[in-house]
Amino acid sequence: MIRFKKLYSIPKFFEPIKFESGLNIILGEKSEGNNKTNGVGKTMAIEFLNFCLLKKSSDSRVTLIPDHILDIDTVVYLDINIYTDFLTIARSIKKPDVVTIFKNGVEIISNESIEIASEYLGNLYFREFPLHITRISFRNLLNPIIRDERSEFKDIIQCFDTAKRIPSDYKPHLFFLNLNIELYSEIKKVIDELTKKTTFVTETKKLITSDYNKVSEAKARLNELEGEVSKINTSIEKLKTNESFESIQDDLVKLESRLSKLRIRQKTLKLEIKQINSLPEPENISENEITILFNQFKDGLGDMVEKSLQEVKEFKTRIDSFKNSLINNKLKMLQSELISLNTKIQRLDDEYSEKISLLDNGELLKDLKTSINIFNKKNQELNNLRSVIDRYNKAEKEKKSLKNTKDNKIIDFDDHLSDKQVEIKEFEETILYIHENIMGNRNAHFGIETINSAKAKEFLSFDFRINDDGSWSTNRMKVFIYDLALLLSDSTKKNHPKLLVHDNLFNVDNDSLEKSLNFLHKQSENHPEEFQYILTLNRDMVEIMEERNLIEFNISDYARAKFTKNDRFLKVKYSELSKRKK
Amino acid sequence: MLLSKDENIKTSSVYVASIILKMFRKTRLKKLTIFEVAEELKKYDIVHYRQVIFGLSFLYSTGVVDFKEPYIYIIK
Repeated sequence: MIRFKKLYSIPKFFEPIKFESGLNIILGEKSEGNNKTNGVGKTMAIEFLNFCLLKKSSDSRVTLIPDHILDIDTVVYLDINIYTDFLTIARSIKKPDVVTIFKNGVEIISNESIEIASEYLGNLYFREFPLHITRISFRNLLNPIIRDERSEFKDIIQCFDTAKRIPSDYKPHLFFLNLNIELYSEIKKVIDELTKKTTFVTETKKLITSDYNKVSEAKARLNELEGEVSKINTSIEKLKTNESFESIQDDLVKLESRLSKLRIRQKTLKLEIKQINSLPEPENISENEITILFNQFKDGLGDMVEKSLQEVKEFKTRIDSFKNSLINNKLKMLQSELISLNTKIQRLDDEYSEKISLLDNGELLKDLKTSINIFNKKNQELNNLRSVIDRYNKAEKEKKSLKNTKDNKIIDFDDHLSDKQVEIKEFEETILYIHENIMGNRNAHFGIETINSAKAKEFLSFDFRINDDGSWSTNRMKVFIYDLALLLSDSTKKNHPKLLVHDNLFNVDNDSLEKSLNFLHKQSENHPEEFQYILTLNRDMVEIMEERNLIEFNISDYARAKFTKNDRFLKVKYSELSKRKK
Repeated sequence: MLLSKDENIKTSSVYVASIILKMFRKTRLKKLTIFEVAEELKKYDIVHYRQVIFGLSFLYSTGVVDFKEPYIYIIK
């Protein structure tokens, strides 16, 4: 059991708020000349409460209050009871990341980190529980109890700012319902591993199918490669172990070197012959034609023609004789050299093949260098493919095994849910009781199911339906009914701190609000010491109901704090900082 | 007249000469082998020995090029 007693600060920056058992209202009132009840500091009061309850400074709006409004030397205090212990939690504005805790007036935690403070408070809370009960952290425990206003009360499980996309955490809910958190955590872990493994299998498959259409094709190629590499390897090994290998090896290397040189020369000769052949076929051009041509130039260009007819004729003769010498001498010479070279290459090539065949029977190793080269390439391809297929096979196997583990554990959880049906049913009964009081009927349902789907990241589903649910304000009522049922149900209140804070939840229709408030009042009257419920409310939301006497009690009797535009929580109007204080 | 009225301009000595000069300009070289010149001219359908000789003679007579086997030189 946890009870808030008093929220205050030193120096005093706001009026201390004293909380009682049962219903507590933080009220936004109208003031003279101002009918507005928003922005008077109700949520900020809850933020200060949360600040003392170890909310992360990076998430807290307290650190967004400007220094000129709130002295940084201010320390915020919260007096609370955990069972019979009286505790004071102190957190300063200047050092929001450290916490001091007094127990029955004695300083127990002195300027320690939030984690250490959370562990201490968690231990205090859990000391009343048997050792075998799986514990959750203190802050974890409080998440569904003081939901973040920015969760928009859309979902019963999700308690955090919707913009932060924090995954749903079922642990506190399971804890309140006395369900197996350990098994839940194990299944979550298996699902995480399975997700990672599935991603790995998909990536590896992509790698394989980038070269082959299907994994089976790649596996077939692996077998083929293994066969090829093995054959080449055997041949090379045979070649190396052959007695004559040593002596023939030198000859082979020499022959390869000679052949290589000759092939370079062969290439050069072919190029030169091609060049000569690229010149046009010779033609007979008479001296008369040259004379006519020259005269044309002379007629057209006059003195620009620098050369004489005789010089042009000599120029033509020079080209003619070069062409003739190429055709008659060089071309013939080159062709003859090429023929003899071809013969030589053919002879050496035969000699090379003959030597290789001496060792290999000419079956595989037509060329030693090429064969070793092919062997190395194929071997590398084989190793790469084998490695990726091995990884794929291993990951597939592990994925299957994880899937089996997940299936089995989910079956275990199903069995566990069956064992807990009585308690779950009792919880549902409380929900129906609240639903009947507020919505006027029992047209609601609560159940817990497991989902075993490859796509679902969460394997649990809290199936909670109420009358006409789905709309924005009905979803808020769902959250209210669920949270209240956790607080009141016999099957959940054993583990529940019996404490609930609802800030800005009641943006609902008037009838639901009226019935909810009357229900809360009745609970508070009938079971005053059994729970503590804190809510924020604006006067204008209940004004008409009060005028019509629909509210069965005096709101002010439960108001622990009242704020107006003229008398705000922090006394002054200000704008929050856009960046957090360092 | 540099061209006679019944002569095809695309095979005329002046046109051939212009292609050769373009080749020098494009390669920015001072000398090209006669093989390279002949190979380039083929692209313009200049495939006869006569056409090549006439084009080169035009360039020589105006003192633009000279020949020293196997190169055609630019001298201007």
